[in-house]
Amino acid sequence: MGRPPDHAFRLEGRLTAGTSEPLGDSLAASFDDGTLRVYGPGGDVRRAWKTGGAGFNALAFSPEGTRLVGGDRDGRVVVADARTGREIGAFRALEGPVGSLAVSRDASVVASGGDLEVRVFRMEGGRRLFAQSAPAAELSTVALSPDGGRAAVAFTDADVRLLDVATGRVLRTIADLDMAAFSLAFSPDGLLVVCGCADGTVTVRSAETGERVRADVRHAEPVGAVAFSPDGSWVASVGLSMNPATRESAIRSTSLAAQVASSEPLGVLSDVSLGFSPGGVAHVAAPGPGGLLVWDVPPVRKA
Amino acid sequence: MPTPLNRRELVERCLSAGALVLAPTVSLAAAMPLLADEPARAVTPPNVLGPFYKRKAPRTAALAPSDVAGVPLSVEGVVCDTRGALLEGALLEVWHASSAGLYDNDGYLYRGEIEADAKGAYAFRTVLPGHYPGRVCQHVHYRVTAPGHKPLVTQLYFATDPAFDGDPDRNFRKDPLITSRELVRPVALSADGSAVRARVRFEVCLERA
Repeated sequence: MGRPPDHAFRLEGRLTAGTSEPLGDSLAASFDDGTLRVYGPGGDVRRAWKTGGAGFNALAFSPEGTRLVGGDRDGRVVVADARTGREIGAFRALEGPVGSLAVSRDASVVASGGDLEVRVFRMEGGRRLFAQSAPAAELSTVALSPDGGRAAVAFTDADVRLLDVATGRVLRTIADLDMAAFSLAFSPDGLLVVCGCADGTVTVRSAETGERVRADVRHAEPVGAVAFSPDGSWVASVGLSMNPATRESAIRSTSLAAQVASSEPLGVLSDVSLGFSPGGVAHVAAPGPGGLLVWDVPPVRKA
Repeated sequence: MPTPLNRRELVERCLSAGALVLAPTVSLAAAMPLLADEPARAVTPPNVLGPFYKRKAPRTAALAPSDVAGVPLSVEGVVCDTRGALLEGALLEVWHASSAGLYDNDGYLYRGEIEADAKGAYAFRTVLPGHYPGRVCQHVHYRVTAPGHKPLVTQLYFATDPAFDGDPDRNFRKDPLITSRELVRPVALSADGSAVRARVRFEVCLERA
């Protein structure tokens, strides 16, 4: 049995997408009546506003939580002020549903991923900077460095490409993963990228060279979410329960400076998001029976 | 409904019927190279790679031990190109879910790499894949590569899949990922004592690079 959640609360409507604030404790949820709500970890509604339509298909906070970007089934991307809900900009990014999103710290760069490709835009005017696809694979996920200068794009052929956002040039391809990265995150300084893979591997790489900077750790399940702590000193990763009969999701906490890691089972989770409070406590959020479940996971302790 | 003619067939029929006359300075022999690029066979329709492709699968035609749960399945076929040339040495990476609908992401169960023989033939043994949430139909993934040819990513489906309600012609689109009826193959079922075995033939046609 996994550890019981620290918070569990009901959701008012049918959830279409959710996300965690990367460096804060807010959770954002989109509902099929077009409502967007931002919650505290205990379920208190901090803000709510109407976005129109039938809710977003994908949501992402900017690294410091000041912007919230949503992508809908028609390929439209909307950027809002996460504190007020005020719409800052909107543009048509894709012809089909938006499946993954990333946004830079100042929301000047937005990456939107569909089934096959990722398109990266300058927020101002919705100008497309570049598109990236693989010849015989689908897009898995995308991440942007906090300053918006680098993108990491994962495809189902197990390649992760590191790109220069200004030019769209592929700087490096991480081609030694065995399975696709399901989750990606840059470190707060943008120098490292962590890949959480379908075979349970969590690997931390240089965003410049793609080289491994510490030994990989392994989950027993595909890794659904990865994140760096606010000070960049440790990585949290959460597995997905692909086989509920035999496996539980677990959160692993891995120090970058030392070979210190911990693992804690959380129960059977098929969808997760991950964020950190400024003090370094990780928050794992997952849809559960009747609502949202949230676990607070303190920083990894030195051995 | 008549089958549409391809360009080569159309030109040949027109020539034989006198409906197309070559200029006196152009011989049929000289004209045929223009037709030589016409594909004799259609490229196998592509299909999505999916999220559970895994590199470095073992080189084996036995994707699962004989005692695993499920209906034993044999798949065989040839790999050729659009001119019908058999592609010796073509590499087929195949993978699928267990009969319970689970992929082995830790290891390489139900995953294998097979090299086509001198006649372009390949075969592998496994069990019929199961259904799982998010996918309507049972399927086997293929990634096929051969020097001088474009890689092909596709999937094999089974006409006996209960999802087709006995009529794959009518119902193959029940799985939104099945974009071509051609990928749904007949299944020969046979009884071996009390056990049922399934056998499928699936030919793979690659496009020249």
